[in-house]
Amino acid sequence: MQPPKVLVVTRHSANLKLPDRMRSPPCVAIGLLVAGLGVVTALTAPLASAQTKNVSEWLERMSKSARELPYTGVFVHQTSEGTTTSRVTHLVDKQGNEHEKLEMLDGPLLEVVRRNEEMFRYHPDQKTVRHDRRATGRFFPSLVTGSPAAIAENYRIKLGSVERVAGHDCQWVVLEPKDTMRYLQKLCAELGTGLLMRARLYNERNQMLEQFTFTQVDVTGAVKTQDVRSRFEKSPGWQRDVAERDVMKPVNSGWQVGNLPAGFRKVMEMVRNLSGRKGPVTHLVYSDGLLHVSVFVEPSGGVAVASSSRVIDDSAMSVVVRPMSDFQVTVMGEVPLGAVQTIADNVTRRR
Amino acid sequence: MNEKLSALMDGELEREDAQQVIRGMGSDAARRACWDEYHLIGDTLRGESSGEVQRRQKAAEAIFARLSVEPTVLVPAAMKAAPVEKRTRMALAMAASMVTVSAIAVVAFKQQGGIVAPVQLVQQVAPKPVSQPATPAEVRVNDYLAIHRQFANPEAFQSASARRDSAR
Repeated sequence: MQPPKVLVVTRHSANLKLPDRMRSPPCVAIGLLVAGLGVVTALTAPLASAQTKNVSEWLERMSKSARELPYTGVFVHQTSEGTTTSRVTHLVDKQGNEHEKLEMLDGPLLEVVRRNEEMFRYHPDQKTVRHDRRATGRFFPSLVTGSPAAIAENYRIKLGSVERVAGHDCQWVVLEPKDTMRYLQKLCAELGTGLLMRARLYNERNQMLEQFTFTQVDVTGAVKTQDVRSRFEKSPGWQRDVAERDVMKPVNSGWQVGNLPAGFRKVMEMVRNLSGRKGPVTHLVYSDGLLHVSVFVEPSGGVAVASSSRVIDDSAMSVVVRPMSDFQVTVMGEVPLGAVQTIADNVTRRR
Repeated sequence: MNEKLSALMDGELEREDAQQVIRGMGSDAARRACWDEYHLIGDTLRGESSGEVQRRQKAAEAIFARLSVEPTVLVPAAMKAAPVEKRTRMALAMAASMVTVSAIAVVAFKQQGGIVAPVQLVQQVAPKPVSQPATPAEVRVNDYLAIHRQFANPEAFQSASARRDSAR
């Protein structure tokens, strides 16, 4: 019934084999050559630092290009739950404001427009626009959010091969976790601009959990202001979601995680008023520069909460729920269950 | 391709190749017909009755029809890590709704500790057991998931929003 999907499957199984082939960076060959010449002590040290500098530069470029360049393209997001296709358009205006528009190309119409940290989600089927604050930061192609130095403290970073993706040559950068608190990632950045073309997330058994990949992208700079506006912006008869409109203020919620896994820093703290809850929900977001973990704390209102921890189906998402005096703590993120558990165990009330 | 089909029947294909061929059959009627013919030839040579042949052919058709509409499986080996009870439960639920004979064969195979890639794939994409209505705790986690993912997973967000609207 859906031949295109089957095509993806076939290509995909072929892709799964790729990583083994990617593990022979040319620098190994160069290293051997140098050793053969007998000038090991004189040359390997500078070579190693050049390599370090090189991977830092690649991370820096991935981060910078996604935030600063004008680009528009179509990307596919694949997880065990299925495949979604979206168009992303990005522009920084003359005043320095960052604009991004995301259009879902599968399923019901949905447009998301972001202006700096503010997000507006347009749902044409409900004629509703919802206002939110960008929190978790895991948005392709802007996946590298931390500084290269901070990332290098917790990942061994290596350059892989050069591959062609969506018509662009891109450089693979492999990030191997140094501990069990995060997953292996492989990022492919366009040679010219450094823009992320493809990103993959693997679990500890080296199985791919998630992939983002551009199928077409234009980085020539032909993005206009109207391209990053929603086509529903001026449609009559739309309502704003009042319940969620004025809740996204950053606050000092009084909650914190006492003993964070290495490299994780708080990147966001806010209070959300969600319907169906006994009171305001505190939302804290922690990141190691690549992956994000959300902590939600809500009053349990006297209802007993059962502890539970699990990895959602075959996805990258780990979830832990635990009671804490009169509160329920829910922690989740695209990290191993152990990391989410550690964070959940260390949630405390600030004094 | 026909050589691959033939190799698959004889159990001589590597895991990845086998998966690819089986997936391919889900969408390719010609290849399916070829597969059926090979089996028919084999069955006739072994002198099996035509009723048995037809019944098996029907079961195969049902499996391929399902395969063609199933989502991409990114982690084909993840089932191995699932606890035995979960696997058995899933397999039984599937037996009720789908291909009885194959499903029982899978369970039997699992218990012997054997792993057959093609059959395992069928099991992996089996429909979940009849879903219970979500408990309030599950709804909560789903809402938080949608917030955490924001627009990375629009379906999750939309369903969460819809639930909130209807709850009002």
